Amino acid sequence: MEVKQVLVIAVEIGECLLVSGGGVSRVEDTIGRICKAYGAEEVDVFSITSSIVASVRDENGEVYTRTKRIRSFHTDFAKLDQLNQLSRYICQCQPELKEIEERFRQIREGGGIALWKQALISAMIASAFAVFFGGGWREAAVAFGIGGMIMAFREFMKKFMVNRMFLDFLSAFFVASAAYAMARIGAASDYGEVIIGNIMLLVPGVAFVNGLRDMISGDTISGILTVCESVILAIFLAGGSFAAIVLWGGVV
Amino acid sequence: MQEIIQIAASFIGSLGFAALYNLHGKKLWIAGVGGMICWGSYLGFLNLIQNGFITNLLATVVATAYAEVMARVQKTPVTVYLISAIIPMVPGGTLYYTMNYAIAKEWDLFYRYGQKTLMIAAAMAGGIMIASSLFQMYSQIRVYYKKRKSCQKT
Repeated sequence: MEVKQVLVIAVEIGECLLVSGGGVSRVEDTIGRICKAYGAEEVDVFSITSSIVASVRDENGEVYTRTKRIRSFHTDFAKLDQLNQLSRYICQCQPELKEIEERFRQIREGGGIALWKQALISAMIASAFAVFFGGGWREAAVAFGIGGMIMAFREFMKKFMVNRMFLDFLSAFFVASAAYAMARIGAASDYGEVIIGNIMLLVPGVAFVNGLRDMISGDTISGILTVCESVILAIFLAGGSFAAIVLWGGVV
Repeated sequence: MQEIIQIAASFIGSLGFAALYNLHGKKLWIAGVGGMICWGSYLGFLNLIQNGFITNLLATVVATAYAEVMARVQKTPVTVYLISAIIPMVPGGTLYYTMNYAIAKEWDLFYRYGQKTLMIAAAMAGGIMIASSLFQMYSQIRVYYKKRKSCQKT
């Protein structure tokens, strides 16, 4: 099989891995291994969180390069796991290109979670963390409601391609306002725990951990980029709830 | 009693995040137990040593070790278990209190909580670095000796 075609599919697999939340080093490693398994003489892959560049040289001395720009992320551990198994299988058995394409297509188009399920799970997480940080059952119930709503709100806003930073600011603002309103009516005795429970839902934990892991494995550039991004997002989260409380509470 | 509630809540929280990121079946439960182990070890270390930084660091080391072992047993990427296990340690609570004290203009408490937030983040970073570097070293050593053995055979 031609190295050229292998490069195309390998980069596609790498892109899907990166989007699903695999670290940069895993992506580079996977693309390199797949190309080597099909007889590439030389493989050089460079990847940061927003781009992949891969270059191979086959036995005739022909050089092929492919670049991919990654714009949006959607963490999906099921895809990550399946792609990992697929690349193991490819390197061990070297199947035909048709078979790889077929399997890859199945994984990539594999179902995500339905919106109502996502909302339900987020509501559960928010109420669990409201209890975790010292809230009672009433705070948990309020956090449950707000957590479900915030996930639906974010999915809705994504349609309008809102800037990620601004979306986080808006979500935190929404959470704090709703929590404050509920505390005012008397549904929850303190809005603090409700807000914390929902902030845990929004905190960019995946990006932070992945960034640290990238730095450990020597990909300092992408590590710094990711960690910086998650710190900025955290500041926006804090700013959003800050704005809401100052606005409604009148504390200045 | 508070501890038991917290451990149960951390289990549900980690389980929830794993489910939100589309994990199924047995792997979902492993991820949830990871969060429980992480917070349980945090509380245990807190009883032994009353030092915030070291407690956070050791709990992260335990969580990372759990994730690395489980990833090798289940043949999945480490990230899957690591992210869900480490969720209870994420300093969302102190981040909120930092902001809260800024609003109330209580600058002493603001500095203390701001410091605490940064400290927890730094401790998490350190813990993950220590544990993953050790595991990486271990697997490199294993690969090295396997190669040498196979060379001797041929």
